[in-house]
Amino acid sequence: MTQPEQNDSDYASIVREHGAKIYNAVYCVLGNATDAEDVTQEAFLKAFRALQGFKGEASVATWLYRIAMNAANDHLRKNKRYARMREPLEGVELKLADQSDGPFENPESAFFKKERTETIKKALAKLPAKFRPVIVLKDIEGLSYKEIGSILGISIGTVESRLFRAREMLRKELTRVSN
Amino acid sequence: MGHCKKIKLAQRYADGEMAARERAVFESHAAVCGVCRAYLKEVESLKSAIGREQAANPPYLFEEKIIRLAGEMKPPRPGELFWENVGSVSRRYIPATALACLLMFFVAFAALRTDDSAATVARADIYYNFPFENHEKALLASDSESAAENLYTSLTDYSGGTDE
Repeated sequence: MTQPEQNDSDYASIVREHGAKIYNAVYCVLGNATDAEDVTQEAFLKAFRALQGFKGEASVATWLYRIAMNAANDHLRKNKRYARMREPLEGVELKLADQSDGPFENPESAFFKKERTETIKKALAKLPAKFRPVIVLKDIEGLSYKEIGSILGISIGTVESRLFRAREMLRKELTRVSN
Repeated sequence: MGHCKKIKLAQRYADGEMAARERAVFESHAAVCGVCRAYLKEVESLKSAIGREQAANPPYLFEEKIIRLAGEMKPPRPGELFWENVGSVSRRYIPATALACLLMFFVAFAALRTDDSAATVARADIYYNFPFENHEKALLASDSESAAENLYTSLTDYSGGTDE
């Protein structure tokens, strides 16, 4: 196998292995399926171009998250969609990953689950842009403080304080909505 | 919720960011601290709610589409990746740095101009206050003794007189 073929094969396995979770992280940061698709695609194409320069200082997942979070931040800055994200996200379909109870799911429980999902989604979307990636990477992707710091280029102390403040904001928002 | 100085430790505990010994110390604190226990409970429920509810799947064959698009891309030329490697954060500072350099240039230019005008003022001062009459007399004097005397007078007049 030649070097370019080897690279292509490595790249394909990287995309297949990490594609879904990178998409999920970007989706949670942007709160919009169409944008998440575009940004994830852009991030993976950037990763393809930079693959030869990847020295393996961080894990492949950390490297990909870093590219994807930078792309998501750039996207938010360029499009100034904060205002749009603060409005109720009507008509946006949330695809739950293997969480449905299948065909036997109680309609009432499905309704409440959907409602709860929407509430959390709106609360997440109300978070300022710099707090969103921290909470997504910790509570959804389950990464460590060290990994989050490495992805976002911030210290562990900053990760901790942003996480603390983000949770406070989420808690207040969810309490407000439930009241 | 009340306040406890160790509330941030509660967060680290809930996030599994503590070593075993630290965990044991915190657990003994949490056993007597209602604020930390309440916070732990809240963080746990928030974490599980977010983690459970927000998972989204990419569109069908999304990964294959990316692989195909990457396959159609030309390999990057050497040096082409420079701007990509600079990073979005660093790129953001480039215009600000350029502006700062430009400002520094203007400040330095203005300072030089000020020095220049100070020198002009000094030259004008010499021109208007210098006692040319005596100086001319010195130049016109036939004998060297009176020339020296006139020149001395002109210089002492200009410098405000000599010490007696």
